[in-house]
Amino acid sequence: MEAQNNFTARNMRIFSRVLGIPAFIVLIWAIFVNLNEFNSVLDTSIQPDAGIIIDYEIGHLKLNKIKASTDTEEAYVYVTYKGISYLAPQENQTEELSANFGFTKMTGLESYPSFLVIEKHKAFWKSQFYLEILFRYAGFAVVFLTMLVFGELNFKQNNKLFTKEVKWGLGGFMFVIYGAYFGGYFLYGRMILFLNKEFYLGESIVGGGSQELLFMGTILLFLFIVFERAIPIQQEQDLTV
Amino acid sequence: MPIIVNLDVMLAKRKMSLTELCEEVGITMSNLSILKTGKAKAIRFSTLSAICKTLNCQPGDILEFVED
Repeated sequence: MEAQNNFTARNMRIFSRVLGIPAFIVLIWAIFVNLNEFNSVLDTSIQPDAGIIIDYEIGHLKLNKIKASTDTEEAYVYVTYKGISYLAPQENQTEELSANFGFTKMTGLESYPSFLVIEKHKAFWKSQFYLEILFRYAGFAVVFLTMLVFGELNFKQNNKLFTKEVKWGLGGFMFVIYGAYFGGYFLYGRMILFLNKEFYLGESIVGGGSQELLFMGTILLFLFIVFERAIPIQQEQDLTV
Repeated sequence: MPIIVNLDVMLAKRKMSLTELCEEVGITMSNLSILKTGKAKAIRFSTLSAICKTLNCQPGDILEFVED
């Protein structure tokens, strides 16, 4: 039985390492590809054909590059933020719906705000996109690493579930999830602060946190408390002969 | 813990080793060491009666209450 447990634990460790190392390489490669793709869209010296939009999207942020016509030498770059949407006023909605009947131009009932990237804003957008990329992929890496450590710890505990190591593994995972939740708030707030200042957007800087992350963090907190209570009970059970 | 386990005393009296007791009683060496070293939080009646039967003694010979 002991030998079988050791065999399973060793196999799990080998499996997690074999899986873990390529996964990290893929994540680093993904960051590199994303940064390249973003920079190629931001760089106006690389121009698309007239009327063609080249875009790069991460989360709610979308960077677009377009050359309006063949006559012009200039390509325009603008950022669309899909995390905020505006509905057209009621009278415009009715007007647009009736206009649609006549197959005339339909401008849309719901729109996302877009912002032209001018030279002085480039540094900000660059940092915002870089932070988004880093936030997402580093987040994946941290979650993956936490799960790996969690797996290793679990198989070192002689098949016991309620151990201090697993409790702290859960605590670490909870910390990462809450970190991601507040990280999302920070990135959103940073961008809205900039847009309010430069474009008079007038949006509230709070509201960028993901509800799914908050929900997950709460479940982990609940599990952490369960472990906190269960460990002494298990220890007492272990010391009953 | 005000309960003292005198298992080693009884083992010495009966000239029996811990390994022999393990085999006779049918519990693991690690559990018996927990009991012998006083780390145990509780003891099952089944374990106690098996030990008493093997060592031919009373529970009071193994367990002793001492004021803190």
